[in-house]
Amino acid sequence: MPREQFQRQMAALQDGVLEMGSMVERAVERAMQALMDRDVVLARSVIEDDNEINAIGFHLQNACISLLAQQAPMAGDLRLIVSVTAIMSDLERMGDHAEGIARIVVMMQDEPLVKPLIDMPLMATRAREMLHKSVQAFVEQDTDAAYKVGTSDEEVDQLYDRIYSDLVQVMISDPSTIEPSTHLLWVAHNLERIADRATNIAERTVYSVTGMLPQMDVSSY
Amino acid sequence: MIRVVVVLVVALVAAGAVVLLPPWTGAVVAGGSVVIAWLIRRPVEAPPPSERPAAGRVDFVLELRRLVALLPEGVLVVDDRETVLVANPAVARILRRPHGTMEAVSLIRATRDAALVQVLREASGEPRDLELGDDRLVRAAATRLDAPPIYAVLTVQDLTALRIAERARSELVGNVSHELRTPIAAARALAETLEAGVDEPEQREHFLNRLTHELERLGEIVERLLRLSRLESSAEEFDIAPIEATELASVAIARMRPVADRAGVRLELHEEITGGGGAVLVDQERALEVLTNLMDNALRYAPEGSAVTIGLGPIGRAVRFSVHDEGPGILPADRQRIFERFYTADRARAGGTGTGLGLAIARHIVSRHGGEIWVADESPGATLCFTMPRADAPA
Repeated sequence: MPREQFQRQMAALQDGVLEMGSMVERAVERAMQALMDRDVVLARSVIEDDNEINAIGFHLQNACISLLAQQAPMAGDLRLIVSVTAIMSDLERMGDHAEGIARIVVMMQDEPLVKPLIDMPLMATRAREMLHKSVQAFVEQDTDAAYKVGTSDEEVDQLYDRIYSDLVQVMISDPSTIEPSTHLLWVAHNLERIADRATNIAERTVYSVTGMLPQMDVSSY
Repeated sequence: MIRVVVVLVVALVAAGAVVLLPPWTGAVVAGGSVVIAWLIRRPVEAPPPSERPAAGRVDFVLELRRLVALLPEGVLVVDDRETVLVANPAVARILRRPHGTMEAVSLIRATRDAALVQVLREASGEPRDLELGDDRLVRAAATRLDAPPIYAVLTVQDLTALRIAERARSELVGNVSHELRTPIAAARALAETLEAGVDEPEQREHFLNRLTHELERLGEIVERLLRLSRLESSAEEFDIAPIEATELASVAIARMRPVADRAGVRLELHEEITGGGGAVLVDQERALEVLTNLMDNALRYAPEGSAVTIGLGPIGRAVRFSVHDEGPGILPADRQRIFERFYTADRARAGGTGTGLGLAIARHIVSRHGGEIWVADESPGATLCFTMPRADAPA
C-alpha cells in the first residue's frame, strides 16, 4: 500500500476520534439539558443515541486493528494508532456516563430536586470543555494544550467535593431526601468520571507525541 | 444538469433563510444560487471533457469560492471523500472556526462537529436545528449535487439571535398576561360580589370604589404599554426646545406633591451648582414624564417621614438629574434590569403597586434624547440618574 494511502488512513483515524468526541460532547450536553428541564423524552433519546457512539467506536477499533495488521507501523505511527484505541475506549466510557446521567433523569421522572442545581451545570460545562479540549489536543498533537486539560481536572474535583458535601448535608437534615439526593450524587459522579477520562485522553496525547505516558490524574476518587 | 441547478437553489434556500431573515438576504441567497447555477451549467456549453484542460476544475472551485464568500449564510462545499473544497467566511464565523483552516481538510476537521457531518451524510435537503453549545443554535441543511468535483453542499444558518428575540417576545407576552390577569381577577371578584347583592350601601360603595380602582389600574397598564410601543417604534414626534433644568425639576415636584403628601414624604430639590447646570434641550412633557416616573418610583419605596431628593448638576455636555430615596435600595444584580418592561426588582421593595412599565418608558424617552439612564452605585437608599443634552453644548 502506498505511503499516501497510509497517511490518509491515519488522518481518517483522527477524524474518527474527532467525530466520536463531538458525539460524546453532545450526549453530555443533552443529558444535562434533560436533567435541567426534567425532560424524560430527551433523556431517552440520549440513551438511544449511545448505540451510535458505540458503533463508531467499534468501527474505529477495527480500523486500528487492520492498520496494525497490514502496515506493521513503527514509532510515532504505532504510538498514534495505539493511542487511538485507548482514546476510543475512553470516549466510549464517557458516552456511557452521559447515558448514565440520562438514565438517572428517566429514573427521577418528575421527582422534585432536593436543591437548586448551581454547581452541577458548572461542573458539567467544565467536564465538557475538558473533553473538547483533550480531543482537540490529540488531533493537533499539542502537548501544551494536553497539559492544560490536566490542570482543569482539579477544578472539577473541587466542584464534586462541594456538591458531595452539600448533598450529604441535605440528607442529614432530612432523611426523606436520601433517595433524590443520591440520584443527584450519581449525576455528579458521572461528570467526575467524564473529566477523569478527559485527563486520560490528554495523557495519551502526550504519549502519542513524546512516547512518555505522564501521570496527570491526581484525582482522589 | 437542470436538476442539479434546481437542487442547488433548494439547498441554499432550504434552511428557511427567506422566511426568517430580512427580505434582502433572501434576494442575496437566491441571487447567489442563480450564479452558482450558471457556473454549474457552464461545463455543458463548454467543449467536451477530453478537450478541456484539467485546470478548468480548479477554476470552477475558485469561482465558486469567490461567489459564496459574499453569502451571509454559511456554505460548505464538499467532495465525495468529505473533503471541504470551499468554506465561506460566514460558516467560519458561525461555527467559530479559523477560516484559514477549513478548506482542503475533512469535514469533521473543518467543523469539529459530528452532527454537521451527519447532516451531510444524510444529505436529505431537510433542514435540521443543532445546538452548538454556549446557547448557540444553527440550522443546517445538506443537498447532494453529484456534480464532480462537488459532491454536496452544506448550508449553515445562525439562528441564535432569532432565538433570543423569540425568547424575549414570549417572555413579554407572558409578563403582559400575568400583569393584566391580576387586576382582571380582582375586578371580576368584586363584580361578582356586587352581583350577588351587597345590602349595606356603604359596603357597596366600597366595593364599587375598589372595582373602579382595579379598572383604572388595568387602563393604566394598557395605556403605558401603548406609550411604550409607540416610543419603541419611534412613531412619536418629539418637540425639542430649550428649558431651564431647574424649572423642569420644579414643575415635576409640583406635579408629584399630592402623591408625596399622601405618602408623608418630603420632596427636596438639590442644585449641585446654582442654576442646576443651565438649560436642557428636551421635549418638555416627555422629560417631565421621566422625572415624575422616577419620583413616583422613589415615593413608593421612601419610608414615611423621609425625603426624596431631586439633584441637578452639569456633567460633560449634559445635565445630570438624580432622584434619591431612603428606601431599601436596589441590589446590584437588579440595577441593569429595572429598566426592562415588567421588571420589578424585588417584590418586597416594590410593594406590588407599580405597573413595572414606568422605568422602561423613562429609559426610552431618555435614549430618544440621546441621554443615558442608570442606577448610581450608592447606598443606603437608591439613586436613579439620567442625563439630558445641555442647550448651550455644541451639537
